[in-house]
Amino acid sequence: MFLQLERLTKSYSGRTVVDEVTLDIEPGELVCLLGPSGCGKTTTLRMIGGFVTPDSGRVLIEDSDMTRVPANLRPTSTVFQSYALFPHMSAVRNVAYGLRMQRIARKDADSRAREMLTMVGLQSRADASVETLSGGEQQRLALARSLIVNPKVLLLDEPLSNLDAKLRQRMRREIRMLQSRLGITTVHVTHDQEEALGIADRVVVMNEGRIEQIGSPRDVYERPATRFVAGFIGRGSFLANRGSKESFVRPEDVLIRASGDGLRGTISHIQFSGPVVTYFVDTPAGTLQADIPLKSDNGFEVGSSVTCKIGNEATFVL
Amino acid sequence: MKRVSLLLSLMLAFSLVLGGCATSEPELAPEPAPTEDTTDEEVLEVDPELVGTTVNVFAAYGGKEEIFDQFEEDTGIRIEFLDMSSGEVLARMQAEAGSPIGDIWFGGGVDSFIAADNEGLLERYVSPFAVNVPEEYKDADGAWTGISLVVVSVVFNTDVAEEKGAAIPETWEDLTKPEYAGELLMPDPSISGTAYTTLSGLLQTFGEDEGWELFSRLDANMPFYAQRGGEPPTAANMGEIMAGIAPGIATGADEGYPVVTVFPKDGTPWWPAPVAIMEGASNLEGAKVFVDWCLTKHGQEVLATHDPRPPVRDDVPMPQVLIDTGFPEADLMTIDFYEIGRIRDDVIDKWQKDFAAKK
Amino acid sequence: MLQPGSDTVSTDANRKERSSWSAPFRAHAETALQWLMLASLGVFILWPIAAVLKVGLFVDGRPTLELIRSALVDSRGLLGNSVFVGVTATALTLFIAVNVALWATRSGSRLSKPLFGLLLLTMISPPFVTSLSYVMLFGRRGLITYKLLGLTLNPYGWHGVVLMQGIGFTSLAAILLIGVLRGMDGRLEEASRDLGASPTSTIGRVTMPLLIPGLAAVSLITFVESLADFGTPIIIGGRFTVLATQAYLNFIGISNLPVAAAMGILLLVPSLIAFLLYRHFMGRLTFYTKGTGSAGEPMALPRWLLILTGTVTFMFAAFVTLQYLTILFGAFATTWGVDFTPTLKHIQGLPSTAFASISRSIRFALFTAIVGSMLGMIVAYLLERRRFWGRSGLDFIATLPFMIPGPFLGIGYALAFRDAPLALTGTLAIVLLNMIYRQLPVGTKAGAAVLSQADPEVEDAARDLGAAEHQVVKDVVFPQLRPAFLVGFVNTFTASMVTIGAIIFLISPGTKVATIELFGAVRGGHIGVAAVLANIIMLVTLAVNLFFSWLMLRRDATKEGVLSVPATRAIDQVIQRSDGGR
Repeated sequence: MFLQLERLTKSYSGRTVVDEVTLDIEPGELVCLLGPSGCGKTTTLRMIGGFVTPDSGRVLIEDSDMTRVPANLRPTSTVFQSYALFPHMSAVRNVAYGLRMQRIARKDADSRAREMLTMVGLQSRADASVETLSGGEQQRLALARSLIVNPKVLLLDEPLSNLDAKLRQRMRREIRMLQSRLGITTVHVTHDQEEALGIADRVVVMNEGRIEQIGSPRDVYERPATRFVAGFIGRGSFLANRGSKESFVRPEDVLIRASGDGLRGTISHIQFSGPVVTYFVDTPAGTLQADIPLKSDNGFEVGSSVTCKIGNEATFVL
Repeated sequence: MKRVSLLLSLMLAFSLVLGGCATSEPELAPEPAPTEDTTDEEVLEVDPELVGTTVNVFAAYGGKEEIFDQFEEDTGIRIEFLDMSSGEVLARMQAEAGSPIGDIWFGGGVDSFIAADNEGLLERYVSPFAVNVPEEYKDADGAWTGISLVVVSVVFNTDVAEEKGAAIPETWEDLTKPEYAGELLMPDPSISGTAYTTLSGLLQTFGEDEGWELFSRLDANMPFYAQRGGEPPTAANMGEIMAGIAPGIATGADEGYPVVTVFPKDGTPWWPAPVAIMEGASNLEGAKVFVDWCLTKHGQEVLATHDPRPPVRDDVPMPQVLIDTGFPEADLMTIDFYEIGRIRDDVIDKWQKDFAAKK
Repeated sequence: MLQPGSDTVSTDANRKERSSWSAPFRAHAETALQWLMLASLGVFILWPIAAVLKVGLFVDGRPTLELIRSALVDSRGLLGNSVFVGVTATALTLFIAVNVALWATRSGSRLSKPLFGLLLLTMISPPFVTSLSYVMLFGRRGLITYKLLGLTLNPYGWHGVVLMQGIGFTSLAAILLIGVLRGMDGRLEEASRDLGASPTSTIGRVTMPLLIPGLAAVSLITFVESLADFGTPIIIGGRFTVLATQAYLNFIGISNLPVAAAMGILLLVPSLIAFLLYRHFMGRLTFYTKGTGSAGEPMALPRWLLILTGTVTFMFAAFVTLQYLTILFGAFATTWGVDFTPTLKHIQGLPSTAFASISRSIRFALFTAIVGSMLGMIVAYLLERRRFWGRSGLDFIATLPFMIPGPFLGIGYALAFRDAPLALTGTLAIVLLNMIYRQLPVGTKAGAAVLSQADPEVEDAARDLGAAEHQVVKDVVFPQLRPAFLVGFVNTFTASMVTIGAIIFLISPGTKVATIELFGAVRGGHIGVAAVLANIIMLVTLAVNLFFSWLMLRRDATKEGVLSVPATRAIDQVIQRSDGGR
């Protein structure tokens, strides 16, 4: 194992923020920690980076115990949510900083920093002051600054959350390509499931300090291990079953027809979103969402009585 | 002018005593000034080890910069000084409770010196040159020695007087007239030695009852009591007030202010301005040289040149400007300084109750 | 191109090597630093205060309120006078400062910039100078009242004190309020206009309420300053005296230490009450400096307000200009009030000791400004970035000198350091230490203000890239603290150049500074010499401040903003004290 987290636990004034988190990460793997705000994902990341000391548990990198090693001596490097660029230094000085800390001569450090800036497409902005850079440029600069020290583990703390939607898509691709090319082990924290599913080799879904599920993006979407994961990732409807059970249905797994076998209900609301039309059907078991591809839409109206056929469902015990 | 030669002997005698064999004559000063009258010659010997050392002085004296420059030139001992009224120096010494704050206390109200001596804050030193100073100008035990006389005067603004149609007063009695209503300024006697000496001098001169009665009529003409001793003459210079009670003469006249000096004919308060060595002085020997120097004829002349006050030695002439202001005609009060020091609290208490509280 | 793994080995070796010593060393060095700071603040702030309390509250080793009671009874309403002057001077200052600040930020006039310069210049005010100019201009033989108008007024009394204090404190108050107004989110005013409010109601319902925390802070500062000011009442109060004056005279003049201490303690009471009131009512409010401000022009003032603020501003500017010109010309007039022939005799006649004193002032002020600001930055760093035992205590002690009148701390130093183990009487050290610790709150709070707004992740980033703790401080924290350091430097340097209240109790012949020389000239009635000294002090202070600001800020784009925000926030934080847990 390259990076191991062993039963990491952290409490703040009596509230457990990270609760026995155990995780093994392979070399070169990109793992996303995904969860709602306050789920402990950032604290976990900060414990890996050495900014937070766990109450118990261990962090191991290549089998050596890093738990008590201060941040400056750990072979990890973080891209912060705010980027945390040094406001009083130029772009190239920001990138060169990590090299300078390794006692590399200024000239040498500067020229390597410029190479790195070229790699992230910032060669023309090398001498610009940090405040004059755009959001995307700052993001790339932060990434360059982290990569130049050759970290064994790259830590990304919501790196894309300050960018607009289009740029976020592009940076997501760029980060993934760079990461694959360098083969750098990466832990990426995000609350954006689309980002997590789109970029990660494996997704770790966290809630209230605990890991709910670890799996490939497909796994956690198609086979949510817990009710929380099901509800948190993607859309879907919970339907009351007999007894204490309830089932979870993805909207794309529902077919609606005017009549026939299945769950009967009435259409209460219709939402158009381009490739699909979403119908909200009130049934005795609850409201069901159904995504119907535009091409095969029958054009039901609000108030129509329909029958829903469910193709695939997951069942949870309440 | 007779000029006393100051023999700056590089004090070989000191080493001779230690060495036990006299081999050479003490060296003379680099520039032995020719003297007209060798019988008057006073020799101030300075230990060569003291040359280049520093004496720290708390001073309340006019022309002190020039006086200290001359001392440095004569003796080779450096002076660092701080301008501070004697009450302030006393307060500092008391606050520091015996930690020495300097070497020399130069000028100011004799009452503060007596108070300091009572608290053991002064080093006793009877200068060999003090023999020339009359008894009434010095402490018998050498706690302090008078170097000049401070004569209280009334600094009077003639412009304001003309405007108000008032005449130049000649006596304290004159100053109680209604034409000076609101125009007489005196410092707070609890703060100012000038004011306290004036008040207690009036009481000793006119007798207690008559003195207080006279003072109450003076008080009626005062708009308020100044918080600083230097304020009344300044205010009189500036025309803020017609008459201000001041230590010394109206020096503002030299600067062009329309002021004259009045020595009240019915009794002019005065006191000897002392020099003293502070207890625990770090440069005790240097301080002794300074005291000696002040009391030499030459030193007295330097003092009189830079601050026109009556000298304490008979053989030093009165500054001309004092003669011009009519000082020789002034009738100096007979004041027992130890006595007025003794009754100080009672006098101030009565003043506080009967006068200050009413302002 | 990046070559993965090219220097992994050397990097690892490097890390291992450093890890062997720096971790334990770091922990110990930091703990030592924290204790050192706590100890130094305890010794140089708490102990002197305790020394005064001991003299004022104990008689023969027994606690008693007798001295306090007699100070209260004998003071003949001095406490009332002090509070009265404090309140009226504060009201006057507030009125002028609000008008000046509104006009400076909202009139759009090209004169705003020179006005700001004038405010900065008049913040540098050597002691006694305003009072001196008041007498020179408005005294019975004043240039204006007598020479021009032919009036013979009695200028002495409470009205002169209130007027001179009120105007004297306005420059600082206006600068702080301008800072608050500039930092205000302009979109709030735009929103108000957008919702149909007239400019007048926008000012009344949005701008002024947002200004309230600033007004409260400025009021408190002015009130405390007024209480502590003894120079103005001594010179122009006439028969009207206040507690600060009497405490000063009791100590300096009649050497009644216990009564002086008791009066000092009495003087602390209204300061403390004002402080607690402020904390109680305003503690929850904060400066609304967040937001990038309006993109467009600042909102124009309604016509009537433009006229009002313009008039008040013009009158204020004219008055202070006149004051400073008086001092300037006073240095060259043969005898003020009698003979106005230009002369250089006051300059030529300056005693040689005066130059030594001025040189001493500059050297002392430079030393205290640099050392004091560094100390302030270190304390700010510990307060903002470290959790440790005694942190809130450190914060409290570092705030104290701000609330304590200068003479109180001066007397405290004189009392505390006269005996072993720290017998500093008559030394240079006692003067410098007093200057440094008296001004510590402003530097500390400016530093804390900058750090509380700076992203702590930036420091994490440096650690992350391999910087050890001392390198983080050197490379990241201190560079960001530059504006705060500058605020601390300018404040401490200026204060040290013009200070007299505390050090008059501490100086010895060998440590005489320019203000003492000036005090002597004022006291001796040598107006020309006093004016020369005042001018030299002002010019030197201005020149050094400008040079140092240029040195520190030449690379920054937004100079004024950089300075005014930490300055305002520093004052705010001095008063509020940052709350314990963040």
